[in-house]
Amino acid sequence: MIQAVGSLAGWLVPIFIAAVLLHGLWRRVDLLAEFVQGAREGLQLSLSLFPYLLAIYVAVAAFRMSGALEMLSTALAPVLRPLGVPAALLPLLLVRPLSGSASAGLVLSLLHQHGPDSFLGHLVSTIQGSSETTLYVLTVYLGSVGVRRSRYALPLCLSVDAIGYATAIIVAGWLWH
Amino acid sequence: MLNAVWALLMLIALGVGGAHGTIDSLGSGLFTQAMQAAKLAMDLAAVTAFWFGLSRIAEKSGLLELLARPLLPLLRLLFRKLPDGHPAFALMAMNLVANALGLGSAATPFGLKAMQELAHAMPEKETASDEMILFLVLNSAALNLLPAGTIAMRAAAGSLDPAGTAVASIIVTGVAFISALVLHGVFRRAARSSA
Repeated sequence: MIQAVGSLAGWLVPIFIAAVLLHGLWRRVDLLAEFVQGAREGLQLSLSLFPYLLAIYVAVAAFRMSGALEMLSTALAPVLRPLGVPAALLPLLLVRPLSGSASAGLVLSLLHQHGPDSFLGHLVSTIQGSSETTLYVLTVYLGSVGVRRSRYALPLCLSVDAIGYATAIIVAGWLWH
Repeated sequence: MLNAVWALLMLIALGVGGAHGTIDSLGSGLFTQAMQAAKLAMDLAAVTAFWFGLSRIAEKSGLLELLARPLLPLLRLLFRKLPDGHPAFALMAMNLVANALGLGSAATPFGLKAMQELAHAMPEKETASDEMILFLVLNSAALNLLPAGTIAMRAAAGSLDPAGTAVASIIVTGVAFISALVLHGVFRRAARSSA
């Protein structure tokens, strides 16, 4: 059942791409020109994000290689284990709402270190795929209309994030443990 | 905030490395890691660029608008204070659909325009309205049906099943979306009774 749904998900991307291209063709969009323009913007964005990604990737790698992560994990294990939270996940949970590029760097390094198809690899992928850079969204969206009093926006959004992370841990435990 | 986190990570790593005597391997290891970050970033940039290109076609052809239409009745139900036909409705629908399809590049401009429309209806200047906060929490709960970025990262890391976590992500965002609606009601009521 899970395998069947999983392979269905593999079909989603090709079907979506075909739908976009066919609809564009039907509406007489200059497909290649628009694609190239959009891709250029994507490349520029990636390029401007790379320094952040590099900074966090190297810092996390250093933290792990020095043995500091292991010390932290051992220290926090009594708190985290009853909650079912792998200690290696902790940095991601802290960084995810703050920075998209930082969490992408973290996810990449976790996938690389633990393997994308391990339990942790599945778990971090689920979290990354189901959450948003909340603080960034709040700052940019509210800032763009000059809001200074955000009232309950931040506590509300962070609570929803926490529910999302908890759900991801439960779902991942259920599917891959 | 992030500045302090980053400095702390680096300094603790170097400090612990010094104390543990792993500082030598740490010095050379850092550069290997930096090169690895560059390789991964290249893979990721390629996928991002591809998805941005596709996103632009979907926007130009009107496909996003088409997909956003079924969302309008739901949004009308959620934003009862906004009058029928308010321009914010269509913009919010486009934003949520683009987000759901992983087309973040298309989502942000619609989201910002939607915020401007909501700001016109704002009772107090410089203060977030209940409607704005509801839109923000729906946005950050990020109902996500096609986590393309994550699939790309998994593929870059050599996964045998890059799309394997898509279903789990959809379940999780579904739960987050519903709890966003419920919690917004709770927080709004609490804010009103304390004001």
